[in-house]
Amino acid sequence: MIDITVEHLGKRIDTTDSGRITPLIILEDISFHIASSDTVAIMGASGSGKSTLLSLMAGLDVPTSGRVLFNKQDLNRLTEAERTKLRGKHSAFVFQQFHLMPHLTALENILLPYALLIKEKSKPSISSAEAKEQAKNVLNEVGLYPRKNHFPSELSGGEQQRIAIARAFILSPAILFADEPTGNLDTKTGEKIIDLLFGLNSKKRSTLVFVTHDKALSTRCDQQYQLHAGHLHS
Amino acid sequence: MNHLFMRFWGRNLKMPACRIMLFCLFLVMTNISALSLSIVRIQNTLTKQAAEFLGGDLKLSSPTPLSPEIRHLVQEKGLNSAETVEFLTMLSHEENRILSEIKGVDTHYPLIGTIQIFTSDPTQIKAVKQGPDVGKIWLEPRLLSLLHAHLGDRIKLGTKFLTIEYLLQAEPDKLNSGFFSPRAMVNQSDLSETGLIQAGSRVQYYLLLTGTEQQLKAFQTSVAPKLQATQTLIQAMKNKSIAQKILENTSLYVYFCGFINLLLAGITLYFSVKHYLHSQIPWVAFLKCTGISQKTLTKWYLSGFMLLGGSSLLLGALFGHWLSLWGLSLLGQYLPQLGETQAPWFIILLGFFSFNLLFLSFIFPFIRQLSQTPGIRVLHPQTVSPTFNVSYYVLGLGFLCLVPFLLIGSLKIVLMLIGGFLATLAVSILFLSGLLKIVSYLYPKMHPIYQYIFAQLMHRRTESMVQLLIFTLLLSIMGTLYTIKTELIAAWVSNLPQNTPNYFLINITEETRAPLETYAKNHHLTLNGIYPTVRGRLFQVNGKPLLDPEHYSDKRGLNRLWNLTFSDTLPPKNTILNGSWFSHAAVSHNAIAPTIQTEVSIEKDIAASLGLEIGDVLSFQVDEQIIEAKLSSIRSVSWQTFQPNFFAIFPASIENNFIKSYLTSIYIPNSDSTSLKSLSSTFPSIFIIDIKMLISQIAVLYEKVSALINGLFLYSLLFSLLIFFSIVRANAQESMRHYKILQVIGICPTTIERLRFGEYAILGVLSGLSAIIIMTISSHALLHQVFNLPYHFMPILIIIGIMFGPILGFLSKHPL
Repeated sequence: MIDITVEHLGKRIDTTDSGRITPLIILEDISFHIASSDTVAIMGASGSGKSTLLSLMAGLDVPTSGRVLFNKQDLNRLTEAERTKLRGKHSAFVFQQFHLMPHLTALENILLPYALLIKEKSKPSISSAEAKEQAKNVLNEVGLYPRKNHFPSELSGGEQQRIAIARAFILSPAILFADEPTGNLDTKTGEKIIDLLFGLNSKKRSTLVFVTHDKALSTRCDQQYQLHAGHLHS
Repeated sequence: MNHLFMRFWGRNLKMPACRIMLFCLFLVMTNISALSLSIVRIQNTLTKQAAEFLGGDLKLSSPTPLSPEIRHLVQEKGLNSAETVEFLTMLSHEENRILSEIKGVDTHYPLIGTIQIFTSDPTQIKAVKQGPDVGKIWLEPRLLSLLHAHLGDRIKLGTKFLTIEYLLQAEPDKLNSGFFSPRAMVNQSDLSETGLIQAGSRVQYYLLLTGTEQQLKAFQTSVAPKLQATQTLIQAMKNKSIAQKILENTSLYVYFCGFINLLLAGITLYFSVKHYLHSQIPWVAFLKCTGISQKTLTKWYLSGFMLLGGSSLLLGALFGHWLSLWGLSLLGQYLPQLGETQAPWFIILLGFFSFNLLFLSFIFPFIRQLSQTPGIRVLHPQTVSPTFNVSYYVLGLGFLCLVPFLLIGSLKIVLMLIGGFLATLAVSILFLSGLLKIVSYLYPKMHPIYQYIFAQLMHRRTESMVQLLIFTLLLSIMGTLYTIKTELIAAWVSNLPQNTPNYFLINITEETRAPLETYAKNHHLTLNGIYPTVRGRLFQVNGKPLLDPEHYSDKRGLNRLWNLTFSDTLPPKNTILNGSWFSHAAVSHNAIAPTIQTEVSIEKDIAASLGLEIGDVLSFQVDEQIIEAKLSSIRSVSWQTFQPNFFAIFPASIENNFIKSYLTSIYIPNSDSTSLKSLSSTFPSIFIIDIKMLISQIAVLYEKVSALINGLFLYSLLFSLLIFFSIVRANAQESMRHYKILQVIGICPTTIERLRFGEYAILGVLSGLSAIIIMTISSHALLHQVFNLPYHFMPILIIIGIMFGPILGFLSKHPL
């Protein structure tokens, strides 16, 4: 079970304009709390800092001010390797781009990250037969078991995203970060994907953090936050 | 996991980027393997052949019998030895008497190689390790016909009759012989009974020696003070035959091509590994996101590369081995096979060394950087990219340069190659920077389309520079290789024109000169210049006696009578390197001594070994007369032509002071045996030296080395075309994305086509122009400094350089 506390978080980058370095504020003084098994939507216009906030919460990036407490553990105090290990233990991701390996089948795309994580013992050790069985189960749950041997190029956008979701849930993550998971899909397919995510959330009791433009998706979440020019409005 | 690992890497093979990278690894290894094996084999052969041509690792030549002291020294140093005696005399059978070169050999001869003999069928050659038995004689086939004798006949040598046992096809030190008369070989024990060798007879005694390097060195040091002025010690590698000189130039070309191909392979490998690993960045970033550590990713990619890259390298090593065997087999008998036991070990060691080297320098740094890709890149792909440090690449190239050094073993050649490459690179960068600078001033005044193209090029200045540099280097390297190849082959062809003289006529007296010329004219035979010759010895330079022979690197000019000639015109294929040819040579006689004061022209190697400079006064003794000659010119001569060549030439105005004979060369078709017999019987006093076998051997060698260097050039050309197309393709794909944006904003396809064509055509024109200049400078420098050949302007390369713009423009639209 994971909870996340964001305290006075800020992110600033330096940009060069006509040879002059100008600071650009992306996020400023953001604070909120996500409890275990919550579903949270972070919304905002393009360039409002949604993805940056997600990356800071997941420990992919470090803030310039404030901190993120991941199960009371200050991510600022961890090294890059320690943050990676922490992600491997508790988190999973679904992105707008599906990030599937084009030359691996649906089943192999699910299995490979899992196998690599098992290998470095971030996850409890299981046999490859067990891992395969779990992959098949999760594929079944997303309704793509019959397509297990298909390559990404043989699947539709919605099917590819379902594979990406299956890949995320096979890790049984305590928290799932989803960055515009329906951004590349039509409305109908998008709705199916959202149903799937919420269905898996209720089954596995994972925390869900969405970054989205999708109003319909946000209304289904326990908490909604609106980002505007780097500032948070709940 | 293993199953997934195999699947992942197996399926990777379907990715073009992966395939290109593996192919590049294969090519790099092929190059290393082919280059190294060829170098080792060529070096082995040169050393071995040098020894075979000499008959031993060392050869002591003496006009007097060898002293017991020297023989004792040979024993003391533990050297293997054989002795031969050579002289010219008449062999007779019934009415026929033929001037022949007799070689008496002891039971240890030959020390190296074999004597090839046959009976009636020349295809049934027998290789033997010992000379004739007592009472037997082996003859060259033409001697048998000249004597009208048959196998088993008894022929007379001096006062002794010997039985013709075998016909002599070849012997190890044959090409090194000073004579070219028909040869006969006898047992040395028979010579005393012939009564031919007496005090004062003109006989040359040879002591052939083999041993370890240390033994030989020890012997050389000990024997030096014991040698008389007329005795010469010759080292195998310093005694170069025509064939060896040809092989040396060929091996230089092999080194040069190999080095260039290695560098090109290094460049290609860099780009292909970078391209492949770049294609992996999104996937790696995603895996990092999900929590997979850098260590696991490094292991994953390293193991994959070990598997696929290792297989490519292994295949490359084997293919390179085969390529080297095939390429060098073209040289047939001139390059004997490497020892069977040596090659596999050599390949394994080489493969192991190269595998580690390539991994450490080209692959591991990239994998390390790839696995450092931050997970955040998934969310911000445009802003965060792993940086591929160019210093690793420089390190990799440095390692690659080590390969030729380890193989060639000559720091001088390797430094020359690297220096040449760096100089070319520096000149290219300077020239291209200058061109870009000029362009940056000019383009704002141009047509809007060109303005746009140039603005693009200037905006991506570094990328444009790299592209220009690669195109320039590729073009100039290929142009240089083509020029050297063409000049080498042209030089070889000109050395052996269709009517190359195949007989030397020597000992032509003043009285027989005119009748010989008339005879030649009547029989439609062409004499290639008649050169007056006298025998003389150089004994002083600037009034000081010559130093001890050990002071000179090349002892050919010492302790030996030279054939001197007189001429007012520079002989064909001679080039003045320093000074000037004598135009009005001042000749004066010293009233007190019989001294003639004049000028002299000296061959460059002799001049260099004696440290001679223009203006030095050289004193020669010819019979009882002294010539004091001021060195007025230093010449290069082409030893590979079959024209008479001379170390020293004096002005024609002094020739009447001496009793001289003449020598000339002549071409008699091989099928025309009657002309030869008639010439021989009309002028019995003239020595006819037959060199047609030598010429045919050299002709075959020319043909084979030409095929080899043509093949090498073709290989290099294909290789550079591959690099060229992959770069054009990669860049065309890159610029395609950019032009698609233009298409989206409404620019018509025709304008976009023109922009693309224009962009590449401009790159082509700039690199074509630079390449013309660079290839001209580098070809000129290499031909003069390394290959000792003249440079000739090649219009085809200029045309290709100029046409490179449109070619590149066309290829950008059709990147294959």
